[in-house]
Amino acid sequence: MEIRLRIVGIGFGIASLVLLGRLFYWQVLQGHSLALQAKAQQISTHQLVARRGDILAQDETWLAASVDSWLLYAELPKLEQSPGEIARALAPLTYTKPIEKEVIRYEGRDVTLDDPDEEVKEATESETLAEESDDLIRAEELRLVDLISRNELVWVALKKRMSNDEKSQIEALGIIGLGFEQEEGRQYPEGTVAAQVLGFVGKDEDGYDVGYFGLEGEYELTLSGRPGFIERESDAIGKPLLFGSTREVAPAGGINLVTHIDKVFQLTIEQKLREGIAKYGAKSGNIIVMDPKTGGILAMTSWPNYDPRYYFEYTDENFKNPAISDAFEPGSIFKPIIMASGLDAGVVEPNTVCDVCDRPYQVDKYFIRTWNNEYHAGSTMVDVIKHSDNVGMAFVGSKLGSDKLYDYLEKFGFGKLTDIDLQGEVTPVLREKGSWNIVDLATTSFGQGIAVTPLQIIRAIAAIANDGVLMQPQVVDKLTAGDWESDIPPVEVHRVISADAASKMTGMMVTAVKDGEAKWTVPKGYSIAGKTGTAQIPVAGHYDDEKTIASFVGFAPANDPKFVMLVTLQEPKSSPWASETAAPLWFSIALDVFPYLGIFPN
Amino acid sequence: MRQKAIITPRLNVSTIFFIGLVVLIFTSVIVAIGSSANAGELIAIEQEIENTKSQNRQLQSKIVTETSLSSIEKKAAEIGLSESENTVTLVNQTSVAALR
Repeated sequence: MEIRLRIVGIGFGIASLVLLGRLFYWQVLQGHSLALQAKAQQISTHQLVARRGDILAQDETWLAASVDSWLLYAELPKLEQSPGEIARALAPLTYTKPIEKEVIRYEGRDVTLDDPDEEVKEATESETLAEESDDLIRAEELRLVDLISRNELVWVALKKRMSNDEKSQIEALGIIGLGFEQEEGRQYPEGTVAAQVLGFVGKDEDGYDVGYFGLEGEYELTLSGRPGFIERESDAIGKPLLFGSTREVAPAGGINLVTHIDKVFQLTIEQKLREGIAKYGAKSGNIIVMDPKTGGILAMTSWPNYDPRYYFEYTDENFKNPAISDAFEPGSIFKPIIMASGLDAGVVEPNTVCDVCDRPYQVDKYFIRTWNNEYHAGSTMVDVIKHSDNVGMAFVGSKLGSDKLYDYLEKFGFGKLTDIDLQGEVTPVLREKGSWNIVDLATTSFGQGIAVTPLQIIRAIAAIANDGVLMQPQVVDKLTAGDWESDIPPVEVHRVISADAASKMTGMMVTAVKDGEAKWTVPKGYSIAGKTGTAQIPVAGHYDDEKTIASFVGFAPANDPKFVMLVTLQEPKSSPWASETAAPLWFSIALDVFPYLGIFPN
Repeated sequence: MRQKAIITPRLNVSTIFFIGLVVLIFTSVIVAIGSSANAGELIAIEQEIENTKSQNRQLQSKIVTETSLSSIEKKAAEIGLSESENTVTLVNQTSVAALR
């Protein structure tokens, strides 16, 4: 009896030890990981998406907006139909549609900018698109079959960024095992309008949304906001416990950007630039419109551009904004800047007579000639600007001297970034002060041998229009979020020239428009100050004989400017001269917007 | 002589404890059912809020699309509105027509 009791006791003892051992194992050794597992089962966490801020035009209508978009996924074990059947049903709704070539109406014909001479026939275009779509649908079917047939997976993402309409269409198919997850999409209601100014929203390495280029890139932190989350105790089937703990950190939505962009102006220049490129056979072009008093960018466009909704179909070359990141030799549109410097320095007056303008002007071993090889003895400075006389400008340069000229170029903002609030600005550097020879001085005086960006040029001309005060260019006018708003005031950089010099220069530019080479195209009755520029393109140490960059910069009304506009066309084929390409384009845009801006003929 | 039945205090405590236990169990079951139903309602309310928010976002998306100047321009062209070829500017005080 005693032995039996002992055996039972020992048995209980061993069992107790095993039990204690297991308890020690689960409670102490595995305790932490089990507690974490239990917490994960009891507490459900959801991320609360921060809505990205919108980008608005001056009238607070949208240029870019955040919208719902959907990720289509499949839970493979739940699918009841075969991969082939599902793919056939889905492919026509999920394939990426081909980007249609932009067709513009020009001289009564529909043409594309790739080949402005050939008319686009609607039927042919539709047939081509239909064939292309069929191929894409077949490719999409194969892609979907491949994804759905992966037996090793339980969940696969089928298509990202689907719209509400597309989601409804797929839901109507009633395919069991498909689902949608909400994600944020970006809508650009005006399509390709101002694409290079806006930039686009892509993905970073971790798959999160990030803004690239333009405003989306420059204001990434402001626009993106901060996501929040909600964490609470739930029961076994995921329902929240009424008396369970809840922790919520609300998302901070992104801030909206209200820009200076005037939609009417923007759409006008977009359309006119396309027409101009088709009409003059230019390779590319860009237009900038600026408010000279505030530095606000009213409109900005370039061709070729891209569609921010389908950014993944384009290359980096399309994303670059040539208005702020391409340097070129400005040619004659640089002359008002040098002349204004001469007037401010007091080395010339509008009626100063050029005593070397009657012949080619020799500098070192080179001869400076006029663009048409015609020479005007006794030209005043007004005539020099009117005739766009290279010799006369070399005369002004020699009066200024290289050090003074350099100082004025710096004051006008050349060789430095303008600090515009757009991602991707570059600046060519100025030749170092003190290292200029007399040839550099002479050629720079008429816009050769110096590189600038279109934005630097328009800002310098805007300073003349703004009584001699240089402004910092700005795209964003204010930041808003709900009832909160914060103005971004205009930034006055400094005075470059006196108001008197600016006024004299304006008068000379008015004469250049009225009596210059482009006078045949000037709208009657309006007071416009401007200057044409036909710049040769440097190629491997010399200038190309045929290719030019045609530009026109001007402002109106001359006495109280409401806008300054720069039109630049690269390598126009119909004529190399700005007076026959960029200038008529400038005036045609101006005529369209004058009534809208309340500018009427005298 | 028949002995008188005596209710012992021990029995009373057990009964009271048992009844108390049953009441507690029922209460906890009722509270659990109630809170579960309330949690269900909470989920339904949250779902409704989410649906309303989603509808709001869809409406905003429509407004964004409808206020697009490019689409308004296209619609205007479709209904036959075209840009004027010539703009006539009337100077102040110009008599264009007389009203009788």
